[in-house]
Amino acid sequence: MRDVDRDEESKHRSPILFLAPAFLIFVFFYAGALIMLFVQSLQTYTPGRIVQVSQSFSFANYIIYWGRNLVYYGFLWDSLRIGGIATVISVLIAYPLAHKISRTERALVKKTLLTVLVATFFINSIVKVYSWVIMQGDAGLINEILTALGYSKVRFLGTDEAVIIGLIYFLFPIATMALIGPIKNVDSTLEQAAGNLGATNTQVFFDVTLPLSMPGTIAATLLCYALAVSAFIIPMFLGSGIVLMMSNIIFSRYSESFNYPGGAALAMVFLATILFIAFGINRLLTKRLKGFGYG
Amino acid sequence: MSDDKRYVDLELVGLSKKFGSTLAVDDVSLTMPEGEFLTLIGPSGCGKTTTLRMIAGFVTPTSGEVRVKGEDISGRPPYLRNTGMVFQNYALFPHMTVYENIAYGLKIRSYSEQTIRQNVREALDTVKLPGLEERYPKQLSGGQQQRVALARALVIQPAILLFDEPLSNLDLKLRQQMRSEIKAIQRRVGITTMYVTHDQGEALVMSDRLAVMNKGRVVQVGSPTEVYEKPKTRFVAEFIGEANYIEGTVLRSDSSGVETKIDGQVVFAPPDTALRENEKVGVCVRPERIQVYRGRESPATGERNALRGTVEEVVYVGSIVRYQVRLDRSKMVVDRMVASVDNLCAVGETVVVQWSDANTILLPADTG
Repeated sequence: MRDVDRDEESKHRSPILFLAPAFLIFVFFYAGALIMLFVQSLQTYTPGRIVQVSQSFSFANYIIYWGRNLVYYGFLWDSLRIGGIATVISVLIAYPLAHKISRTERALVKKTLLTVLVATFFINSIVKVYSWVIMQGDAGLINEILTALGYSKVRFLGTDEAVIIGLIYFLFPIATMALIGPIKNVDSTLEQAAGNLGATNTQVFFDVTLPLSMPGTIAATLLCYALAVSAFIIPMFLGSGIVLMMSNIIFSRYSESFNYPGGAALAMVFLATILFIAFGINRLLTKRLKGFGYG
Repeated sequence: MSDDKRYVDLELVGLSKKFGSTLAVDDVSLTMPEGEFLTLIGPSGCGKTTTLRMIAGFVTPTSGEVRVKGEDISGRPPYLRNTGMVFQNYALFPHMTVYENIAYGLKIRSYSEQTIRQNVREALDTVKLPGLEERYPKQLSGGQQQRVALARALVIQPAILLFDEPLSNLDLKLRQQMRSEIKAIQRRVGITTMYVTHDQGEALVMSDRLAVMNKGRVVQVGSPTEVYEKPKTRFVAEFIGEANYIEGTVLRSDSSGVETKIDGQVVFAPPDTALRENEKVGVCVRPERIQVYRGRESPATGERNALRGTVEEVVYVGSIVRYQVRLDRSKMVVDRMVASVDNLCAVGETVVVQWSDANTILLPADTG
């Protein structure tokens, strides 16, 4: 038994050479950049200077942003909250569609839906966002319809809702694509077996399909959440400077006040928070799923 | 047939299924009395699984009806049909324990916790698996998973029990053991059962009746003995058991019997009033019904079918030996029990093959 396993393993072991590009990208662009960012966050900010030359390192920036007042906690919380709401709604909308694509026996339906989904990825994100600005603007389509119907105009841009809707629009196709695999992996004879035992389609869904696709669903959710909380363009345009998410705050530190160390300190805490959340969810999940024989 | 006083439990009436332009199931009609074990058997793609799935409700028939106790259920979704299905891959819920798997159908039916507990225990006793309640399917062997699947199907007390090639993933020994166990459980519970397989051994051992399917149609229905002894077509003869099939011509046909000519030699068969002189006919003999005598002359056993030939191949399989005997243009396969290994015929040896009239099966010529 052990020998068989070892054979399997060596067969699947890819030569180091093929892994090298991924490894190099990771070391230079992720780990390297992260270390530089951390170093930067420890430097002292001198107004008017972009390149900081100070040789002394301190946690002063962390204290300025995270120790003296609560305003940045507000931005952090807004990012996590808005991103969370958008993610949950996106996954909830995406799941039935992904289920349909995974289970339909009609090739045409599957192809059409997939093509439409993939097509949305090809639309430039600036174009996507502007299309929403046009839709939601004071003279936008939604307000035109409202006025035509005799209602008063509603202000969308600059509200949480506008940003959330924009994020859903951006996340929904990604969530769908990420969910197709996990749902497809649920053996359809298990669904039939449940139906045969008397379960209605709804019961089959909640008793079999959903729990068995849970690991993949959580992974898809985490992916969407990471994209949502770190969103930049969508809150920038649809938030109109009123709704600010962490990316926008960090961006303004870098590009408006040229406070690189300050931006770095904000980014480090933001990153740590997201990692902590992702790790927590993952941890909770693996513990719960071990019993199912997934572990 | 007509003197059967049992209730009809399951009835298929002109059941057909088209997938695109292919007719997967073609006008299948079957009637199963209460408690019967009927096997749908045929090669892959013959429509047997599709037929079963139409009964369970996973496939919607293009036309025809499925009746359970006289009631047409073809329009109902699977969950309102009360059929218990055992799947080929067992289809046990991997995220539920053995107990939860078996209890699932009862929970759906909102039984009380106590009733569920008791029924699950009884079901596990029935399939001889007590004490494994808390295991997950992954922790069970193939045979055990099979039993859990059976218990799960039985515990809901379905009107009909359906099996979709349930033993094909097990090794030979276990398969043979499970055959007789499934059969014993079915008999004890007395549940009407439809069983799908392509394994003729399974079909012959387990069934009350077989329905042999080919290209979407039921070609013959009968008890294992009927189907084996009196196949209606060449296809049935060759699919259920093995058969030597040689085409010939009817020389004479009357009340005393049928005389046919194959490969220049005369073969006698029991009377068949439907056959006329000079008609083409398929002559069929089972390999194990043929005797082999060494030398050129057959002993005077009183059996008239005696053909001379040469041994072309000898395959020794332990309990039996299989000879391939070349006649003139045709060949015959003969199976003999090995009484003594010193007395086997050799390749190239001249022999006489012999069988009784009663063992000659006459079939319509040239049917697939």
